Amino acid sequence: MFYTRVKKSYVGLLREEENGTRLFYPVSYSKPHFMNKSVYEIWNLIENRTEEDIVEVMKKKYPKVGEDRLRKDVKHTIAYFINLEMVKEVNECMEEKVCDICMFEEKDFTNASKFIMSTGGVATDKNFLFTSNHLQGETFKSYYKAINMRTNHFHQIEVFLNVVDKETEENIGVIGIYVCPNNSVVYVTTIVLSNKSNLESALNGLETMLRNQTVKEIKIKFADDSSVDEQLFCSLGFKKESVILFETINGGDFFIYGKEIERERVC
Amino acid sequence: MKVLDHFLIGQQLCNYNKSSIQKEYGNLKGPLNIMWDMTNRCNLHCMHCYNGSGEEPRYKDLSDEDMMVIGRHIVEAGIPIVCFCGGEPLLRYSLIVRLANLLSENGILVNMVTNGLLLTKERIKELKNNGINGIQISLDSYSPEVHDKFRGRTGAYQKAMSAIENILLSGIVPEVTFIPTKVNYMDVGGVIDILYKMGIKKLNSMPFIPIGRGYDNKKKLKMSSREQWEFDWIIHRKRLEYMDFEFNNGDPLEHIYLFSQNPYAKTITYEIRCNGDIVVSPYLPFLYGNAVESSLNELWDAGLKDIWRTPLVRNASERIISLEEIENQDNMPWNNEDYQMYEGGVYDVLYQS
Repeated sequence: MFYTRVKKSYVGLLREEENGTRLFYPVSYSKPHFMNKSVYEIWNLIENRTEEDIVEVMKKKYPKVGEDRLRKDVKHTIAYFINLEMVKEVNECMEEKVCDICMFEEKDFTNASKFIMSTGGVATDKNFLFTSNHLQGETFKSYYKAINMRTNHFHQIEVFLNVVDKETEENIGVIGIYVCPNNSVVYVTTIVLSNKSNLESALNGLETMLRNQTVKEIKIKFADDSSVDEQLFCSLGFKKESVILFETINGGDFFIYGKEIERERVC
Repeated sequence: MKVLDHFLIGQQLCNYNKSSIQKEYGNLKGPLNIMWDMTNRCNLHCMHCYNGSGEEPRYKDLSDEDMMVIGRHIVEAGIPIVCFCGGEPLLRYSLIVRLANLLSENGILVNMVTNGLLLTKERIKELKNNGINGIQISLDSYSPEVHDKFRGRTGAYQKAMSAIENILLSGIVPEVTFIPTKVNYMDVGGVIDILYKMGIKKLNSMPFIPIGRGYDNKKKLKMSSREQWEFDWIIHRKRLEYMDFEFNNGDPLEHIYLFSQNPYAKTITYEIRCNGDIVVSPYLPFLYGNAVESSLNELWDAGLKDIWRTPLVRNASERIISLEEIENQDNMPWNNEDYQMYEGGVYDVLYQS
């Protein structure tokens, strides 16, 4: 069982008071409510997570607090928000999310390389393929060779993530990202999915992973001659931000699309 | 150097030519550097130790005189950089002073790795005076409990910290190392804070490699992908907090990739075990002769220089894509399962066939 926050479930701002508590007005019961720092922390963790997931995060953060106490606090906090209709339960079977995203482990590079190579670098009606526009032919093969992928991943030049089918646990895609030095922006640099219908779920999974860090925006850079359907990204909440003139390998332009990561409206 | 000549004569200062640089590695007269185990004994019992060092050593130490013979072979071979490793090198303190003196007098740069337990101010001074250039020391956490648990001895943290301070006072900036594992990865930010306050603006790291004692403890130590993700983000945040701090994550597989990718390269590095055996790579189960029985130059000419081109080592190195393959080799290094490839060893048989 997962828990997720209900969108627009409180009115106006979640305001931080001088002692660190947050003032909020639930839509369901529009009187002033307060959450203390711990409850606020748990609130931030409730996003496509199980109770167990949240307890695990809290355990790491507060190793000196007993597990029973943490478990009880998490349970009560979730129940509190469910009563206020600010959190809803999501059964796995009814959950929209079809993919899980996780960072590559050492064992993943060989299979991921084979998976990417199997596309031959060519987009079809079924799959989804987005890679840097200079990666064509032999360069594509060389770039996505297992050793090269691992080296780039190891040195954080491009960090690779597995897209896994939640039901079958099969690998159904690979996403590559670059974390900008300010830690606020992440560029998606590779997306290879066996089925393009998984794009939204995969990007949502990525967003969830990044939301827990300091990232404010996901960006993607298309060449003007890219086969990627920009409208598709617009339908997923990306907006055109800028144009970089004459910089593609063929002398064409790049377009930068960005999507802000949804956060709490904190005053 | 030929590469430089090419750049200057060709008057194309930026004419980067991958092939000509690759070929330079084929002209080496000897390795660029070596690791030399002073002993396999250790006064700690680290959970992740790749060669299983401890109170009960797996390999017998050579006598001081045999070690001095190898030292003279190193001088003869003109190896530019030597690192004293172990086990704990300071358990053979008088020997390493003599060896450091011999090597540095002959222009060789000498570094050492230590856990710091036996490193007093006086010893640092004497080591420095005898040519020790750099000292590497591990710090696994800002918490004494975590560090001591990882290192298998209470008080190890305090000793490591005071060693770091004393090394700094001697005018050497210590190379501090952090190996992230399930046990300590969350502590890397705290370690960076401590170092930065001390004026040390660099932390070296490399991934945990589950061989030796690390293999026995891999379930306790190997990070999940989620933990690795969290670790990377701690580093991202610290990089932003301390813009002039260098987090240097070394890839233990780089030297293996070099040989699987570069068709010309001679052996750039090797390890000499405390019993004199030449270890081709610390992560592969191949030996090539013994440094007491033959000189390093003899071994080099006999085949050590091209050991990575032999079918056995080449096939093994080409199979290595990631640490996963290191962990799952048929024969494990540091487990008395090594192939001896010199004179009548498996090398001759396979090479001829």
